[in-house]
Amino acid sequence: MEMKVRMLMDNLAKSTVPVYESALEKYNTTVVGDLWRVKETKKLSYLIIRGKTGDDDFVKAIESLGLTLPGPMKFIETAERKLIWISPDEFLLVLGDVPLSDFIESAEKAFKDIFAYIIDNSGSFTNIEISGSRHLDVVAKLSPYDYHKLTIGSVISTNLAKAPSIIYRPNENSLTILVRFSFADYLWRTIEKASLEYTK
Amino acid sequence: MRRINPVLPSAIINNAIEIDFIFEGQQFKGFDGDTLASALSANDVKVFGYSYKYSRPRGIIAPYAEEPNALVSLEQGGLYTPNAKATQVELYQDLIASAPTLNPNSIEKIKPLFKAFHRFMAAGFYYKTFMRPQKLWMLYEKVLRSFAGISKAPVDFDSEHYDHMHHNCDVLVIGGGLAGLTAAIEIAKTEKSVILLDERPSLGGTTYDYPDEAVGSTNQLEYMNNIISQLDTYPNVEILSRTTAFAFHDENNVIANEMRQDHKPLSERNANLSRQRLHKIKAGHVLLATGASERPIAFDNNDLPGIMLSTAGLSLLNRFSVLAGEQVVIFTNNDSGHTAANYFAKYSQKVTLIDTRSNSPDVALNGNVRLINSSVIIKANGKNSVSSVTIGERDQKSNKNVLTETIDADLVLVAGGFNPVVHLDCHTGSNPIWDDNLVAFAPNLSKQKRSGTGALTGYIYATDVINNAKEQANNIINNSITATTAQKNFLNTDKFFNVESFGGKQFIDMQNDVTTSDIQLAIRENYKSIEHIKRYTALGFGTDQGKTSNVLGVAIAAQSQNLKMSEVGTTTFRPAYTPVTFGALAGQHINDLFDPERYTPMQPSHINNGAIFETVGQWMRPWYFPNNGDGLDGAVFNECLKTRESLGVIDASTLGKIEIHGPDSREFLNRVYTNSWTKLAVGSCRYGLMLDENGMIMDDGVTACLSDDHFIMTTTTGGAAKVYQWLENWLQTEWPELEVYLSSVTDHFSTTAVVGPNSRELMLSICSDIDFSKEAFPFMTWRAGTVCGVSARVMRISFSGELAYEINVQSNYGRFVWDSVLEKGNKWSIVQYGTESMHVLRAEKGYIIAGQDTDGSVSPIDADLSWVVSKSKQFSFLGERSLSRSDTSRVDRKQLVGILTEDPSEVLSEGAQILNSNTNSNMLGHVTSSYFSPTLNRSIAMGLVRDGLRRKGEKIIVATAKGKRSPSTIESYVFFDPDGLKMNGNESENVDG
Repeated sequence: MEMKVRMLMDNLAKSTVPVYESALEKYNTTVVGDLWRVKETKKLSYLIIRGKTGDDDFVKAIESLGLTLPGPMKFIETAERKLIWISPDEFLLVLGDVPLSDFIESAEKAFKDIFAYIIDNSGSFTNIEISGSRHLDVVAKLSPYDYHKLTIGSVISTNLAKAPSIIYRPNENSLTILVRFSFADYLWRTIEKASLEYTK
Repeated sequence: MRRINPVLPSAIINNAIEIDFIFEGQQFKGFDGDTLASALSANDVKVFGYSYKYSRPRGIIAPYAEEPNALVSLEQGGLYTPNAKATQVELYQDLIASAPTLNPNSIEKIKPLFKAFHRFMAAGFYYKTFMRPQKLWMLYEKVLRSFAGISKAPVDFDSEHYDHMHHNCDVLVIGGGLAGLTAAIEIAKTEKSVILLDERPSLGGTTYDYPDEAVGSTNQLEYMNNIISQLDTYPNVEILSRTTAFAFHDENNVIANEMRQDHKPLSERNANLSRQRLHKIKAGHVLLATGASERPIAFDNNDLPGIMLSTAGLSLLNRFSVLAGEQVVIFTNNDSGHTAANYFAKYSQKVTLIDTRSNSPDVALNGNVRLINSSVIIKANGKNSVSSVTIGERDQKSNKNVLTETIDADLVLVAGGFNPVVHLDCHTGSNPIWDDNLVAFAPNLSKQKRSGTGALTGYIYATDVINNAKEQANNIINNSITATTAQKNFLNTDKFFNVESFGGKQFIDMQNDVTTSDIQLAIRENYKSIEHIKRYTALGFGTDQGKTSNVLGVAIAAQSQNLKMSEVGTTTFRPAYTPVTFGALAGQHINDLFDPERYTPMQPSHINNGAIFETVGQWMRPWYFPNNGDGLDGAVFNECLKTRESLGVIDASTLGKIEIHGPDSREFLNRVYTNSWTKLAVGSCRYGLMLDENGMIMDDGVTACLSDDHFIMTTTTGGAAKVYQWLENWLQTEWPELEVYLSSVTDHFSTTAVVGPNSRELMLSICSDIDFSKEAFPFMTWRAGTVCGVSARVMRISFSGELAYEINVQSNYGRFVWDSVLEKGNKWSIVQYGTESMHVLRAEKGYIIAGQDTDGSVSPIDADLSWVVSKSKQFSFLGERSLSRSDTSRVDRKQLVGILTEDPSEVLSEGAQILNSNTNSNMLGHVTSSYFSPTLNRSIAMGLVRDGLRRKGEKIIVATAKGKRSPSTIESYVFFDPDGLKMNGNESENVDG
């Protein structure tokens, strides 16, 4: 298997419709090796939700959107919606196949009279899932956190090598890394190097 | 020296696998499992090099990492490794090694010519001789370095790679000898996670060297092998061999280096694996089981090849099946010499044991050993290796020796007692403690969640070691750490370190050629502290860090000053315990991964379009586009002119972007910016200046009002993280009553800025749902719409003084919009430009760059930006109070002005000093920005000048580093379009929106 860089379309202006590109567009981001796998998931929406967890109205508003507030360093997934705890008054909502503008509109309506906000940050994140028997070794090369303690449903914000990242464990066999668009290329190359010995 | 056949059962070599290797250009054969030292010894090689100062022949003296003499260089080119210790180098097929001081062309060959001068080369010789004239030191140094007797530094790039690995464990056991293994398995049974580190290729520590020692009904080697096989069954145990813990930091953070591929033949090394791996281990508890290393006894000519520590001889014998001599003299001050004598008596023709002590030890002696009590070796004799020793009887009271006889010897083993390997324990600031019971410096072990076991704490015999290791393991399990040092004498060691000199040289530190008399001389010259003695004589420096020499040096210093060992103390032990290559420290964070390169979504297009990049913060920004002209100057010339004439485009995605939400957002902005935000209308933008507590400019940018409780702030590219932290800090700690949320959205948006008189035309061609008329979309406002089919926020703001629009879209569509703008812009001969042209354009217009034209000491008044400072706000803004301090409000501070050279073609150097033109001296300030302006067809500059605002029109001199003086004039720093006509598309609108 190869993790080589592929050629990008020279000039996107040749396209008549808007072209969506992820930060890792030039890489083959579905890599499968014996000991580890990596996969990028594109076109997800990312929304920052700010609000006071002690405010009952905020909790109710969140529930009215079909969501449940996770506790510290946890996330809760319901259908195509994953609500991730970021800090005591900040959450990151990852939406799968849900119409974004409709959702923002309903959230703004739900938050209308309370000190709570929803902010579209969809362009900010690149979503990389790593798995396989040695995936913990790959992250252990890049960060001092004890990933054995990151249980299913848990999340941390830390640096992977020198890239600020949000890392959560959706299931036993994989970790999901959210990294900022501008750092994604660096992190990808870092992961590629760290996983070299597990790819063959 | 010869290999014993059949191979001893305790040996770790496999004589079924022969290995060819080259040492000093000569082909040799060894066996699988050999070290370079053992294989060469089996080939009867005794001389491994010549010494540093006196060029005396030297052989190996130590069993492993303590070795001071046998430094070798391995391989060549990108695989070259300097200063490996032959005792640690694992043999592999086709290994190429050389000894730097054996090289036929080596300067060592001429060193003997200096022999007549050796008596003048005492401690401090170099300091005393080569200090004057000072100018010649560089020459002296060059010559002296070639004399140093260590490998040359590598010159080629390392062709292998390195990585780091982090670990977290409950218990870290350092040392895989009997103590470490026994403790590890006890702890493993409790399901605690255990990591065990050992520096050697095979676990077991020195059990191989003393295989016969009994443990119950078996011997320690069998006992140990049994533990190792058991340990394999515990999934909670991770064993790292060939891994040296070299640094012990606070909070039980231990750094260890694993040699992953150094032992493999070059043809078998896997390019996908790192050569070495730095392990960073965070442990709940650290159990040190680092053992003890043997120290020599000093006597005359004790550096002759063939004289080695008894542990080195035993290691060759029992671990590698190499008999280092037939006529063996063992010189001891403790029971271990007797143990060594018993092993050698089985194979050597003659074994003589010389014991400084008069009483009989605990160890029963083989009948073939001749024991001479109360005696010492006065001197060794021989040319290139030892041939005999002269011994004498020791008068216990006077310490004088009476010469008794000379004994033939081809091997002299010295057993001078053991030093616990206290190194790691000392890294966190503990000093080792001299222990008269142990006759050694014992570890302090006073830090929390740390303990020691085994020989480190004075337990030597297998049964004692095992009992102590189990006890320490139970202490860890039960969380009840107690004092751990053995209470009885270490092997009945006699406190005897050196024989009275018989007129020859007694070497203490072999790597630095430090003798007993050097230490005595240093003290006579008043270098009495052990730290001063170290610096004056070089005792304990070098790649071995004095592992065999330091305690001896302390003993000589104590004797000479009539002090106790504890009063002299030790020098400071610092990481690293053994040398670590820089590659391992750097790990994988090198080259393009050393610092993150942050890319905007347009990066692939910039590359396609041939951009030359510069790093701003961590961002890679196009600096200029060479296709636009000839070199940097040519490209910038065209980029600026074409932008001013028609249309330019720049990637402005790197600017920091912070969303501000909440009912108190305006008040928050009022407090963090100098100007007022109370009345900024929805749909409008405003320039803001951010000050620190001292009233000095910290950052600037444009903030847009998206709704009454929603703003978006832009920051400088490099200042984004700092500003975000600064704002959060104030919000969370000082103004928690403000209902405001901040969210970084820097990466969410990409920004394509279209600039120039035709930018409106361009916008009309790519966006149909925004009214771009000057009335509907005035300067310093924003509008939402669809650009190139993508939902966008368009801001009419300008950093060039031109009519300009910034198109903000979600990053994922950034490159599409960029490419589309370039395509559509062809109609107006669009030019893409980089940061250099951006700087020229902004400087022509007199826009500052926070961080370039300001340096943390420039207030808004200094920068001539008083118009941005509101003095009528209800609540103070950050820095306001400081602006009224007498020094800050002084009118003759350094102030930002424009500078025009008399010669319009001359571009001043940024940083050049500004002088008073009358005196041609008196520094007034310096140049902060300087460019050639294609638009004005002359050079322009900005600078900070004392009392500059009142000096406009005044002549000055700008002095450059090379002594050039450039007559210039102070002017306003708005060089171009001072009325802002172009910015407004030649419409007269209010500049300040």
